[in-house]
Amino acid sequence: MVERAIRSLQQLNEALHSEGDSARARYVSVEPDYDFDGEWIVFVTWEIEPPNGDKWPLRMLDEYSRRSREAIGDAAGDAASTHCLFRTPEEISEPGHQRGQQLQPA
Amino acid sequence: MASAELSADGLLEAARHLLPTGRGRPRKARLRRAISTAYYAVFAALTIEASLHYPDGAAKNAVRRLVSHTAARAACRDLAKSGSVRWLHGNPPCHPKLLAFADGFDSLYVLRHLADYDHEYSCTKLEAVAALERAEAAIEALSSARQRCPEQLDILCVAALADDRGRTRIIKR
Repeated sequence: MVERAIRSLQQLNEALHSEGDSARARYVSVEPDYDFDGEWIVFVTWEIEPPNGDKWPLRMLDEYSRRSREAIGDAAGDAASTHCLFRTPEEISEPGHQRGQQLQPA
Repeated sequence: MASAELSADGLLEAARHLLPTGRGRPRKARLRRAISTAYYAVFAALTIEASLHYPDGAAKNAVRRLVSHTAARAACRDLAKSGSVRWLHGNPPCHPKLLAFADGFDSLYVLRHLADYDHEYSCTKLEAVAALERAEAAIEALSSARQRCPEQLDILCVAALADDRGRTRIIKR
């Protein structure tokens, strides 16, 4: 499942690149869902530019989450749910934010 | 009457107070508590809805106490994943407001689990701010769902009181 998730997110990154969007899915981790036997939570760590003010618009984060779910959904089916973590380039370069396997830059 | 300490508004306010306001690196423990408290505000809002039809007193408080985190998540996740309300005849599409609440609940539940239990999780101020904003949006969506789709909200509350077998038993064909 991890390999398929990586491939799907890589395609998403390429689509973002062609759209001129600098956001990228950078890490992916597939972990057991603590509430549901046999199910998984796919954590996608995104790298996005810092906000202009003190927060990112929720709608923007939701859109990246939606696109992640669509990409992961194709790879994992119903047995997984997707959760996104968002980090700035500075944060993601610090220790502790690299959850799971790294995706290649698009 | 529900205690002010466990009201959604009270918990949101507590979460806001936990967010650092100045520059510099905030303490991670505060950020974790802010995320967790934001989730608890949403959970409290759901338990208040679940007990809405009971008069103030012991029964109302008991119903609020009976909603479990896991069952509430399972019920919300069912709505968020299927986009429909399987516990009502005809399997109607979930109203967008209730869907927004269910999606927000599941998202905050997972984040709260990281914040409370995962030692490898490294949270950020931006994430805590987004969690608080998501909690506010979810609570607003829940309030709106009470007006716009009361039957769907009521059956979600019943599902949040049930265990796995109970939720299966109330599925309609």
